[in-house]
Amino acid sequence: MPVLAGQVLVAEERLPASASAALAAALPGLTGRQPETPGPAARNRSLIVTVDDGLARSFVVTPPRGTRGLRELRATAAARFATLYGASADDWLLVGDWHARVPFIVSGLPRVLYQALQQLALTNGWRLDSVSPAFVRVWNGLGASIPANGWLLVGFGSTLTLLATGDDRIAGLRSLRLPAAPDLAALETLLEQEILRAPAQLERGRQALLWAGAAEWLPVATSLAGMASRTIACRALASNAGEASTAGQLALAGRSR
Amino acid sequence: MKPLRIDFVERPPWCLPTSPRARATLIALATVLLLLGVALAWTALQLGRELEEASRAIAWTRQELFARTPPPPPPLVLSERQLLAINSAIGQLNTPWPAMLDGFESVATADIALLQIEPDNRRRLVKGVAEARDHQRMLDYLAALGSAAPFARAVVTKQEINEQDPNRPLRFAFEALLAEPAAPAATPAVIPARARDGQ
Repeated sequence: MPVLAGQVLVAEERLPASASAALAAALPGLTGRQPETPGPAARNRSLIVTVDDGLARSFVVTPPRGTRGLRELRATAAARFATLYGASADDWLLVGDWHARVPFIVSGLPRVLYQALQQLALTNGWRLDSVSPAFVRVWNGLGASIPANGWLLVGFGSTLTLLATGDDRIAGLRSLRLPAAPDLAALETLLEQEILRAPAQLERGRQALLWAGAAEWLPVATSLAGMASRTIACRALASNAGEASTAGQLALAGRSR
Repeated sequence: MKPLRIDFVERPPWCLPTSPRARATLIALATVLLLLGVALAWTALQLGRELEEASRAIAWTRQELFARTPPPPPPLVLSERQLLAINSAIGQLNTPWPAMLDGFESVATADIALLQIEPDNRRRLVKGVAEARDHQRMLDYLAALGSAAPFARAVVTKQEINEQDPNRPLRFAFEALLAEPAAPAATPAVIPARARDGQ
């Protein structure tokens, strides 16, 4: 199964929008690099794309009281996007784990990038089966291992996504693009900073940490910042998410050189 | 934690990923429904066939019943003669014999010999033949008979002297009209308007 994890496709760090554009421009050239040349046997195969958390914009939306219908939730998510990023959400494809009463995660992907992926699948005769951010793949792969109160820290390429959970619900989400592979002290500092930003109701004493992802710099420690910590490496993330029938699974890790 | 349903590829509802258990349940449910549907269709087919057979049997039975039923009898039409005969028979049966005989009995005397009486129901009278000693006694008898109970009046129709008898009595024939009956039981039962007009 061709897995292109770790391909250097994006070098930009601070401008994800232009990074997406560059990536979208680079995608058509990907065809020739496929280990399997598309032939009759390669037809009707599904393409599963895992997008680096730095390329997507993910955030937590608290639904307003008395929300009725998906339309209102979408409008709320778009407004939240505009508030957070200071730009209209028109150019972004917003998809959420919609819920009318509890906070939920919304992810946005540049429409340009999504269209490029669609075009890539079309030209190669693949069926675009799934496009999800990396943290979603990790979250869904871990399942019950995610602490109900605590933090899930997803390291993927040079992006660290911190997901705060409380009472079995998502409480906060933040993606950081790291300039370089951090050491344990840097990760602890990052975590401390993030804990200070987190909502006050999260009780620190009962919290637990779970490090997961495919990055090489994930810490191997039993305790970090005063919390129990464990690490689950998801090197086989691609095979978790995709089945054997997939023609190509692109892990757009966006690791910087 | 619940899995996150975040995927930028929007799939139609029937392509949404489901857990293997849910898929198995769905397949089982679909199979059961399919079997149920087949059973229902088969039952419906059977019922339709039975219905058709039953209606055919009903039609056959109706035909059979029609064939076996005798034709209705033609309405009874009696000729004038038959009507008259029936009416006269009924009239004879309705003849008030006791009252008539009581009437004759009440006026009977030793001077009058009543030889014969014959009711004529059609004309509602009684014909009689009697012998009297003389004219006066005949007239007295007829007057008495005409005022007796069932009779309205009595008239003589024929009279002669019986020469063969040594006493030479006056033999006379008379008609005693019966009074109109008060009770309807005495009227003839079958009197069509046509027959009554004919009289």
